[in-house]
Amino acid sequence: MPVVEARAVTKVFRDFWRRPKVRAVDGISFEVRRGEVFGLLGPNGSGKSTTLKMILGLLHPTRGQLAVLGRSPREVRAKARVGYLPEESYLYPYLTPDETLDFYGRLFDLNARERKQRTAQLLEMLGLQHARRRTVGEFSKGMARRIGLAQALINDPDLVVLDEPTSGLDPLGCRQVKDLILTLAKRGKTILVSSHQLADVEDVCDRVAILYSGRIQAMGSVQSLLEDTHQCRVTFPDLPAAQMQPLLAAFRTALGTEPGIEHPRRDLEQFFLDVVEKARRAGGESSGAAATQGVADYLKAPASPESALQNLLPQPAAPAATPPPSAPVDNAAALREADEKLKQLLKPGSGA
Amino acid sequence: MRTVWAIALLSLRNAVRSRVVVLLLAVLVLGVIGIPLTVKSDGTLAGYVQILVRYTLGFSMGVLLLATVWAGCAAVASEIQRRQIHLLVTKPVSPAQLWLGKWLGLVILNTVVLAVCASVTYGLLRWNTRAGQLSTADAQKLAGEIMVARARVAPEPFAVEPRVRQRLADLQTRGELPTNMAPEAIYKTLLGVAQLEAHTVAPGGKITWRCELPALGGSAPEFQVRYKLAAAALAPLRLQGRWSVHRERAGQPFELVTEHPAQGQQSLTVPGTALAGEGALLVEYANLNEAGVTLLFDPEAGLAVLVPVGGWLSNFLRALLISDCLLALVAALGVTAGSLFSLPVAAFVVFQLLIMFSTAGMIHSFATREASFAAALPGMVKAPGWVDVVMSWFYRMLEVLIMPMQNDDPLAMVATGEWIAWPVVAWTFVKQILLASGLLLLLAAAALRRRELALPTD
Repeated sequence: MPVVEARAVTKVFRDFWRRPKVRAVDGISFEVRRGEVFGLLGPNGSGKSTTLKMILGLLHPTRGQLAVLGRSPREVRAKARVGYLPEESYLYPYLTPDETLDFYGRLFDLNARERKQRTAQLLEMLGLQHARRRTVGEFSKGMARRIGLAQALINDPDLVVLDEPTSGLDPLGCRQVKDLILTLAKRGKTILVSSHQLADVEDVCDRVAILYSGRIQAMGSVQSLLEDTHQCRVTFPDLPAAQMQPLLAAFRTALGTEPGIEHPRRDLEQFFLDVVEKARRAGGESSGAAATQGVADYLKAPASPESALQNLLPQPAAPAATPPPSAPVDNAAALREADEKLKQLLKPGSGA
Repeated sequence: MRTVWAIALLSLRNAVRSRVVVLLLAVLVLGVIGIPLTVKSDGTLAGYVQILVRYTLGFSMGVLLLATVWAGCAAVASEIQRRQIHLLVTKPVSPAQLWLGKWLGLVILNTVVLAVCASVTYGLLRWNTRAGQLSTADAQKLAGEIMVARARVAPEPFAVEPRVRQRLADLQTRGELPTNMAPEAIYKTLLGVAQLEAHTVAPGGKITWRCELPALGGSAPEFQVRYKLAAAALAPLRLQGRWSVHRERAGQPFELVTEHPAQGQQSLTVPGTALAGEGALLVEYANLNEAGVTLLFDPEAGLAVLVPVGGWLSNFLRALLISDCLLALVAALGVTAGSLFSLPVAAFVVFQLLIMFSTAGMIHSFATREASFAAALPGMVKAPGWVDVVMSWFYRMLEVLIMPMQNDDPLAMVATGEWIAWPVVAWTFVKQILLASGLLLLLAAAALRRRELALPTD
């Protein structure tokens, strides 16, 4: 059963007199499978946020069917297994981080001990222990974002919906959020991400859907969508000119054209992280969120064998009402990979 | 329940940390201390208690009602406006739990603020009437007549209906019924006239009321008879009459001649010995005016026998509980309106409802009287138009929905020493909390379930 299932979903916003004003989402169909990180991409006004809000029950589809964890998104029982990080901070400014997480923990009916433990772990994971007595209203956007993320995870949800998760975060925070997304996905959690940060989506998403004008323009795995099968890159150590010349000549002869040569670059994010890490080791202090690498214990805990197995097994492709263009998926390779993972999992003493 | 408490506690934290409560308490306590210093009383001890309990605490209630309307409407509407509700309703929180949490937070807050105001009022009352401040006579009056709780026993209504029916039948037989009036309107008019006749005392005449007293725990040292009397004369007069109060059987009659101006409410103190004997209590009044003036006892304000049945402080507590129920009902109205509309619209709607609520009795009484009056005018059309139909439904709604929700002013009752029984508190709780607020909860929950909370216009 897909975690999120949309069938020809349309959303039309109406004016005060109930006249149609804007068709924000226009007959989209997709599925988000258990354990995958699914990205919704698109420019402003493409219908990403509207789609997420319908999945969360904040908006109701005008037409079509939408199911979350097999239920209507408006059902209270479905919401118990969902975590949501909105695009903006909608937190109560007069509460401290402790009180904020305690409040949202109560809404999930967590007992006092559990709330206290999870709050402490989440604040440590997000580097906010030193700010736990300050009110959220005094926080920078990045710190408030971290608390927003913590409240989305307080219930250890099965489905995490993240609207622009890296918005307002510094590169350290972005990296941390991406690592967290990957960790959660490894535990069998399903992550639905909406973002403008294409590089972030590329780093973490298994599959993406690109929306424009309320319709899905392309959908598939990141690998299949981005792979350019007409070109090939060969990487080897930098060589002296004398050794390079014969190689280039061989390529020229074989290809009948001049090959492109360039030195590979590190990406700016990795470079930035290295610089900050060096500064931190040198003893620099910051009043913002502290740099951390850990993940809250309760989020690291092994997932149930059932969800781990489901995560490993290949899922059937989503039947779409109007299938968007998609790259072919190598099912045989996916099965071989799943088989290897399954063997690893079944070894004595191995975790999920 | 954990969810409801969490939301209620959140509302309380918001109120405390936004310093709204501190400001509200400061205004109210200043009012409670300042009003008795600025308002002139009639110089009597009873007048001072009236000012302190009825008007000063009434002022606090008024301010609290306004604050409750605002806070109730803002409870959900401002969460929607600031989109904080996105994080609430994406958690396993049902619309009913959300409503209950917000409402409960306001109820707790109102209870605390009202308790503080009431404590300051009571403290002031006790401080200003402490030992040494009053003469012995005043101290006795305070303990025996003012700070008491007396049950209000209304006399049996005069049996005028059979006479009215007979008169109507006679008119019908003689063919003298007005053709432009509905039979119900004629009956009502005749009934009104008969009631006035029954409450009229001709010169040298006498009127007798019969009161079934409740079982009294102990022998009361004294009790009061309260009445309102008018004279059929334009010149200012002092009205003379002789009262006789006694039980139906084996009673020891108490007799007293009174003389007072023909205006305002009057009170007669009767010694407890008049309660000796068996059967109902009979209260008689003989018109002794030498000027030959006919007297009329107000049929609506009527006459009441006030018998001491309990302590003032517990009565005060019950009055506060009833006041708190009213605040809870207003909070329910506010939270419901805030669930349906934006903050300014919700506040406007609630204020309109409150105006309708507070004037319902007056509007209804005026309308029913006017209807019979208008129908009696020659040339009036009997067939009702659509305006009449709409207005008739409006008055029916007042009768059925709004007027049963109303109470007598509990602070006025406690200020005049009128007993508020526990069943009255319980009935107020049932009708204002369980029924009215419960109905509003269902309405708000249904609306929130249907409402899209992330529309671009919200």
